[in-house]
Amino acid sequence: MSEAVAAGVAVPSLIPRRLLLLPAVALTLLVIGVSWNREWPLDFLHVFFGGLWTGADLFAGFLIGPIARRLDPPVRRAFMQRYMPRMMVLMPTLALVTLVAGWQLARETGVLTESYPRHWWLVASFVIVGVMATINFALLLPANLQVLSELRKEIPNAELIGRLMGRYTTIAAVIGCLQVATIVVMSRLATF
Amino acid sequence: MAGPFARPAEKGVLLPPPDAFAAVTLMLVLGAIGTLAAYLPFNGPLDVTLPLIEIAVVTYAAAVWRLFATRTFAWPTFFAVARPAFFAVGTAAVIIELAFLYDKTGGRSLAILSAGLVLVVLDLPLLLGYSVARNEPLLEPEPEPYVPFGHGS
Repeated sequence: MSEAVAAGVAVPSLIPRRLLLLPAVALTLLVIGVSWNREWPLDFLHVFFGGLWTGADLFAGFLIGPIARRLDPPVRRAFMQRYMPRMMVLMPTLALVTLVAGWQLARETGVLTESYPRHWWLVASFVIVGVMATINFALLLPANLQVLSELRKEIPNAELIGRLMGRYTTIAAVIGCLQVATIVVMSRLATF
Repeated sequence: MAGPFARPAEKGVLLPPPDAFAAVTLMLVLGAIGTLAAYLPFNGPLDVTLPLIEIAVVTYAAAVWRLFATRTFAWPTFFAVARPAFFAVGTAAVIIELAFLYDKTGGRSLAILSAGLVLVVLDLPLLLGYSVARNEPLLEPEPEPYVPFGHGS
């Protein structure tokens, strides 16, 4: 490992610890829901967290993103320093609870089986979620982390932040569109 | 055909950075898990899912190799991001595995799903850590290239 670590130079955490309370509560609810394995709690977790996930994605992509891009650099910096850590904690938690509860619900109600008449609609939702997960983890989350890391420096690289923010808002908008596609598939399945 | 002002071809092969390999690994694993999920409760086609996982292992190994081939690098920043990411993704993977076990998913399906999860747990911290650390200033300067008869010696 590096000399800096050996010399005890601590690199401060990117996310404040108090923000970890939300995933702790959400994951506890998820574990209870999965172990209880009844339709109502699983349905509640899937719909509630899925609604929040979709809403937050659409809000970030189509409202917050375009506004943040037009803010003055100091204001944008102050906003991003508070916004980014929360999004870093919130979005993966919402996604995980929605997906695991949805999976368990599908197993419980038998819609995962190939004999289910709208099985391929469900497969379409897997494809959409797979694309969203790839975009989220390979592009959005690294951009989010890079902006956070840059904002903590004494002299942040404004050009890099501008470039990353442009990428962040574009990707958030693409994910917002994919979320709408998920809602189309889910509403089709729910009204069968 | 190259014109008279064309730039000379660069020497050597420029390989993609570690995050590109890590992103491909993630896509392959998600492809394998998605294919498997589409056939549940029966086993998915092994001739699709297994090669996807095998290629994912190779691309992950390439990502690790490309990471360690970077000799001067902001390693403290890399570990400051990768370590919490590892714990966060690990926690998520344990919960997902718990759901599979609770559903009595077993045999070949469980083996492929578990292998995919292990790959994601190892791959995402690398991807996130590298993405942040590559923009950090280096702790030690890049070594001077060796010039046998340069600088008037």
